[in-house]
Amino acid sequence: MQLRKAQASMMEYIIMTFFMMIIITFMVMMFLGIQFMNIDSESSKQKMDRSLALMKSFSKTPLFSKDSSITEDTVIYDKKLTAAMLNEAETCENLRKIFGLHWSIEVAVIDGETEQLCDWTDYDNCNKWILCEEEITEGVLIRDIPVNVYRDSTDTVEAGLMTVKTYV
Amino acid sequence: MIIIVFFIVILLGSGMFLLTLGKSSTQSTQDEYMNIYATNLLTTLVNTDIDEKGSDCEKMSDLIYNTIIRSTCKCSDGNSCSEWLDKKMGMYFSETYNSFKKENLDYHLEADYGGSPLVLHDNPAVKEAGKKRWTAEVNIFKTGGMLSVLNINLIIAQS
Amino acid sequence: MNIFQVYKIILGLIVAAFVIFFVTNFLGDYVGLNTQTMTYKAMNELRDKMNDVYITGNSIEFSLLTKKGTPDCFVGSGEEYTSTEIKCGSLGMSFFTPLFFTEGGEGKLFINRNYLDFGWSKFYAVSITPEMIILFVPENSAAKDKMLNITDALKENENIKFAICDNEGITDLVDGDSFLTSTPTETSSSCTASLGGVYRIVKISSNCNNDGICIEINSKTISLDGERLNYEDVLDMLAVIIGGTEKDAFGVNQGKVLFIEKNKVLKNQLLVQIALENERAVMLKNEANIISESIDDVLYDIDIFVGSLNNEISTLDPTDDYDLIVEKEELVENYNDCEYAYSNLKTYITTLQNELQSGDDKFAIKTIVSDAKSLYTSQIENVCQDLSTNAKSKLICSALRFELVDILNNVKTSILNNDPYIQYMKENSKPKYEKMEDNGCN
Repeated sequence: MQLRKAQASMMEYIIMTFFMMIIITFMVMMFLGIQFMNIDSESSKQKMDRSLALMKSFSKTPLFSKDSSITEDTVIYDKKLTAAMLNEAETCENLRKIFGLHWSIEVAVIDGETEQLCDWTDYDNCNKWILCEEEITEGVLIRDIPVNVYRDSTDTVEAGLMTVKTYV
Repeated sequence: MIIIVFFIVILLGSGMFLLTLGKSSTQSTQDEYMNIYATNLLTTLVNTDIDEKGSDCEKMSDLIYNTIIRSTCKCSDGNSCSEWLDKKMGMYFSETYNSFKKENLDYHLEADYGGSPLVLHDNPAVKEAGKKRWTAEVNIFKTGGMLSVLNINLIIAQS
Repeated sequence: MNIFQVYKIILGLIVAAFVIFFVTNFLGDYVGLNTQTMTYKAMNELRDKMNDVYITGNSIEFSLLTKKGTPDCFVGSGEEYTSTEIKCGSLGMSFFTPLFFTEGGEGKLFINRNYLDFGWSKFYAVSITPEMIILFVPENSAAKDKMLNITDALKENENIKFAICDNEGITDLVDGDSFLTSTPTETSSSCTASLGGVYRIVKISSNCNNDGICIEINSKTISLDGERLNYEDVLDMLAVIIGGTEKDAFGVNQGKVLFIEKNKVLKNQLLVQIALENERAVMLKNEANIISESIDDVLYDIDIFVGSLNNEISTLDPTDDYDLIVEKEELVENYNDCEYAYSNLKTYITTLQNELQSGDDKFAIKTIVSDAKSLYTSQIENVCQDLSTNAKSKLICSALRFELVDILNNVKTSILNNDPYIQYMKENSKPKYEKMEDNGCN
């Protein structure tokens, strides 16, 4: 009887240890999983922060601004956007040396008209510019921000939308 | 037995804490973006040229201001300022043309000057309870008129 | 003790060791992650604030990065396709504004904006510095100019104090404005001060062979721990002084890193802007149409004037009104000369419009514009009836823009050949741009 009791207690103990091992292993796996998730969300947060920083930089950069000085009232100059598109390869090459790789920007003027991409044949009546676009379609973060665009041919400041795509 | 349960509860608790930490950091970036978006939308809109230079409707800020202080305000084509205002706001927040309107967001814009606010773009859905909201405001200062400060408020809400 | 008890003890020890190992590992990671998260947040906030200062020019203070526990930060010597990076511990973050950064001490960092003005373009850079002392060691009175130049560029930074240092000690620490107005006359050959906090000893001497920062009096060279860097503008000096001689993880002086990064960003910005100015100069369809229409208006007006003059002449009596007839006939002749000149101008503009259909030959476009403007200024302006102000301005501005582009293309060649270019750009592009502004060009 006593032997049985002792054996039962031993078995109980061994089973308890066994279950504790399973629980501990499960906990370890769960925490590792959470850490990987955090690293993932950290990296997507970094991508979002980079996208936000690029957006703020591009909306007020002296490279596309109307005047040589930058202030809060700086607007984007349409002729410079068109000039950039006409010489896209060289412009993007040099912009990447300043802003890094794997981004693109689009600017569209909100004028109620249909979309018309700016190029050499029509740069006075067009309303959209696209720069440094890449062929990647997965994992692209797209954010837009309203901006003012100065139209040279009419000497007016119009409302527009600047879209920044971050690819990596 | 109790110790094991205690152990499990603590570990589960810290796991959930870490999860919420991860989730809130991406949420705060999203909020930061939406706040910048709202502010830029408002400042872009009020600085946009609407009509000929020198007219009452030259910039959007002029158009809004003159519509409020003068009911007889007219733009360069002879039409009333309030007509122009409706037309332009309709265009900027239109659902069909290229516009500011994003699919999953509602926009409400009003001008406050001490009297009852002038609604510039109406969407009462933004004030419904339980919706995520972002706001922006801008002050327009004018000298020499009967109204020196005009406060324009933008409310954006998730649909 | 029976075997079961031994088993229980051993098992207990194993489980306890396992749990302790796991918990300390996790805690270690979590604490590390927490510091990293806080540092990341601080760096992100810094990037935002720097961008605000870059755009508005309003200086601000920043304290998140100097709190206890945050790791030391350095500016990374970036590669060709990376923007300037700041590295804090193991975290690196891209910054898109040109910057001069250094940290030290536990006080607040001060962020302000400096710029170089080339007229047609301004280059802005943001400085981020802790409380800092700059000790000048000017060898003689000839060093004074450079000393005051540097002080003038840094005077708006509220965190920086200035003094002169020599064997006996240092003069009173004052802010930039006070240092400039006090017109210091002391000279010194060496500095034996040793201070607490962040400081930079800047020697200005005719012979720079020693350690530390030394600016040569008679040339445009800074020596940084013996390595000679050729500078072209005051921001180069700022870069070296703010960066100082502290070495990053790769053993490179921060002063040299800031110097390289500033020039890399400036050159790349200029290359973008020069390429854009080249394209923009030939985007003349709107201008050509305005000038063409204005010429048509003038030719029409001249036709009417000549017609009415001829009518008048035909009504006059050749014997009575001989002088009047001669006067009017001279007027008709002048108008005819002007009509001829304007017709020539119209031919130029029509050729320009044809060339602008394809825009392939930039050189041809430039030549046509230049010839049209020469024709206008030599034969038409001040002699004949003027084009509309708008049209005249378009013609003159287009020609001036091409002249500016010629200057900028020379600058581009110098940049690509790693030759000095800043002085040439300042001396040539700035006056040209000012002339454009005087003529009301956009």
